[in-house]
Amino acid sequence: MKALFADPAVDEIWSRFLLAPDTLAPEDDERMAAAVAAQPDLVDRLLDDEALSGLLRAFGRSKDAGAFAHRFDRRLALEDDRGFVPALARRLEQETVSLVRRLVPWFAGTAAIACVLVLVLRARVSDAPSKPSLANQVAPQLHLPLPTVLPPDAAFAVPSPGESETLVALDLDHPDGLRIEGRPVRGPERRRCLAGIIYNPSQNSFGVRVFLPQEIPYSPDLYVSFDYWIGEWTDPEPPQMVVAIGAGRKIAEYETAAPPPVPVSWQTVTVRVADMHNPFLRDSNGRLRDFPTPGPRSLAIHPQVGAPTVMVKVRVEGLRQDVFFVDNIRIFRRR
Amino acid sequence: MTIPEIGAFFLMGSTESGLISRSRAGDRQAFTQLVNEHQGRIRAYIGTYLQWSDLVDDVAQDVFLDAFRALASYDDVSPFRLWLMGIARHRVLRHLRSDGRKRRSFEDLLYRRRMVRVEADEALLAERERQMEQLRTCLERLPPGSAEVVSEHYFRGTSLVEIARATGKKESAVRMMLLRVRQALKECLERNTVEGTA
Repeated sequence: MKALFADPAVDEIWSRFLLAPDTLAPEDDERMAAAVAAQPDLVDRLLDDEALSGLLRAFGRSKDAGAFAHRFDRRLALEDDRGFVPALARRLEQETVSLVRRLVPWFAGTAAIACVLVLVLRARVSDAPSKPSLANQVAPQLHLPLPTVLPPDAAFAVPSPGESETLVALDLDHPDGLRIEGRPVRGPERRRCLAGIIYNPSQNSFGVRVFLPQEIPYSPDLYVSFDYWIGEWTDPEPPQMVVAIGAGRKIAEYETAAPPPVPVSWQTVTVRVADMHNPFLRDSNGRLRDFPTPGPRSLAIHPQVGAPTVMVKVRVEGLRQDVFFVDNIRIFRRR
Repeated sequence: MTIPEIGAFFLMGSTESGLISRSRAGDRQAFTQLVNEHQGRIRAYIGTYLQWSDLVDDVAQDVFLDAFRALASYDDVSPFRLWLMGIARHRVLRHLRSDGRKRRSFEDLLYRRRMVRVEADEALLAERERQMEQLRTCLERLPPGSAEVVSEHYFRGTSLVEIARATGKKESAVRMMLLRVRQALKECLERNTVEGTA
């Protein structure tokens, strides 16, 4: 079988490029450029090769047609809502003005009659014993189970606020203008946050994705932190929370597993981007297996230092209900 | 190997036109059904130019949103799937043009040539669609071992390292096997193209 390149080393570089297009080192790029200069027709053959790989990957993805269509439907609903709210506001404003104009003559007379009625009724019921009303009932208390203790994380020490420099802080209260995947909602404890949307029904995967307002050059000393609230689960094994960044020109995703989640209370998690990598190593149950023991580092591909980091994604897998919220995404580095 | 469908190739015309009419009248569910039917083909087309799965999905979502908004301009005469592919081509071009990041020489060479190819696709969409269907046929003809490695790597996303570990082979051997399979698929496609044009 004839390889694309006469030089096996260059062929090897191309194979790696096809698997992870953002990892071409400068010297590899030079070698590839030299190889292509020697065989001008090669560019088209390489693009054919790339197209075939992309097509095969896309074939695999088309199995989740239902999830894709569902995601589209939710997006369409969101787009409709965005158009609907300003239109409704305009209409309400117009109708309110016209209603006020029509009702002003009646208002004075109605108010006078109401005052008389109130005075008469108060006089009649002042001696009657008081009855319970909605206003004096005690609001039911929601008893949530206490959070379990987060296992100590010996993998790394999180820098204290004094030791760190914040590069991006997204409170997600009003994510207008941000490109997001997730529903802006008032979540648990009435915190404004993003509710996870379904990513992969077969994995019961819910999550949020936020594109950063500015690119952050990738560097292994970065940290990502965020707050989350997750509902309870019934499976013996807890859901797995996965944190990813998108970096590089083609926004490759590099991910790592976060510590086991703690249910029904707001928790803060910090992960190190140096732990995020691609490909994703999973066990036979489809779970990422890098936490708490790091995987074989020699096999992991990390973004190039300086590659633009443009996105943060947090998702949980193995959660059977849509109760996952994320807030306060922050990217920082140790000073 | 089970090869996933890339789309309902023979969706009945009356069914499709009914869904399009209902979508035009604002029936979101009808349009979501069209999305369900055509997403495979559109994602496959975008995947030939943009490599990362998440990016492909994002662009594909934009394509369907554009299509929903522009349904009034669809002429009901040309095949709906080709109309969608035309929108997908525009979206891919738009994405490539907006990608103004600095590229080194080889990457820039690929980028420029990729642009030329997408631009040339305007007259070749039916041909592209035919190639996608042919690839499906070629995949079905692969010997079981080759089919399994394609399915594992491309469909299930298993890394070469994992495949090597599971099969007890060296990673380089698995990579070489995939290279051979890709070559066989290309030859199969070329043969079919020649047969198709003869």
